[in-house]
Amino acid sequence: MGFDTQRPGGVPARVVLLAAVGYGGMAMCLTLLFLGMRIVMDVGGSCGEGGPYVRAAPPCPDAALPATFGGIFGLFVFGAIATAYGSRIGGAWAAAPLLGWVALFGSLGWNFVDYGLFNPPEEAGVEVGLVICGVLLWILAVGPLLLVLPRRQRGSGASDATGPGTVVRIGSADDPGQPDQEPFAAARPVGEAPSNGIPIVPAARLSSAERRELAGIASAFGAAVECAEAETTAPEARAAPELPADQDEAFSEGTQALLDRLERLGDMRDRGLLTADEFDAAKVTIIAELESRP
Amino acid sequence: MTVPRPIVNVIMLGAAVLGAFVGLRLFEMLAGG
Repeated sequence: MGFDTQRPGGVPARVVLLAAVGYGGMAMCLTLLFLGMRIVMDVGGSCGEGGPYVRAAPPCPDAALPATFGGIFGLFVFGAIATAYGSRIGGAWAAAPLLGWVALFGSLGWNFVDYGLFNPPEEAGVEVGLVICGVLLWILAVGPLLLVLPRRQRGSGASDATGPGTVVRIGSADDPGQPDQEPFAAARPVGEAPSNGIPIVPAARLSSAERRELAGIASAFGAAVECAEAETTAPEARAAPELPADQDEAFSEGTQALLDRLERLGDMRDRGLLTADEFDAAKVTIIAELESRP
Repeated sequence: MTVPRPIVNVIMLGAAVLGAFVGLRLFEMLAGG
């Protein structure tokens, strides 16, 4: 999934307002859950009222039930709002609701560690069980971050938006790229519909090595299409003459080059640099060229 | 009407801080304080 992380221009005020409601609501619910858990920890870590099975438990403080249940269900509601409208803002705000997971389990883990290590109930010394619970919650909170962050760092900076599905327009260092310009326009076969709706990464955000690599691939792609088009538009040209014996080696090298080109195009499709339609069009022309060879 | 992107960041951070403050006040209200 590729997305444009630095979409130029402003954001509609309605989207900003609803996203702010989502994020503010998430913060409110996380605060309620954090404090709701602490007030239960204050009465011994559990509470209950009514029924025959809760006689041993102390009664719940007034705020415990509404804060806990309101916090949990509110987190779902406001999290959904923040996710829906944060994704419309794009950039970091699209992924920020996922930090709710880290905040939730991190804060609840802190409560366990606080009451087990720094502020144990009834002066009971260090409560190892509570500390273990806290550490487990912290692992739960930080684990996904450790899985995600290395990927973000590998893809950070210039290439953070070059994921699968992202089309990259290649330009020079002086040319930051025009977002409204059709990528691979020169290489697109005649009659091929443009790929609308695909985000474009300005070339200025690509590293020089990436730019060189992509320029080489695009050049090979364009050459393949032009060559194949020339062959298919001039059928008489496909009537290949008998090759002299000394050209056999050169001819097999040409065939191998075409196969290599097809393989590179497959790699480009797998990396999301080409759409399936673009790949299919190029493949058809390359196969036609291969078949034209005796 | 559109909001410039730097202002959006400030609004979002402000909303999160405000939400936490509202949660704190709401909890105090529920606790009867």
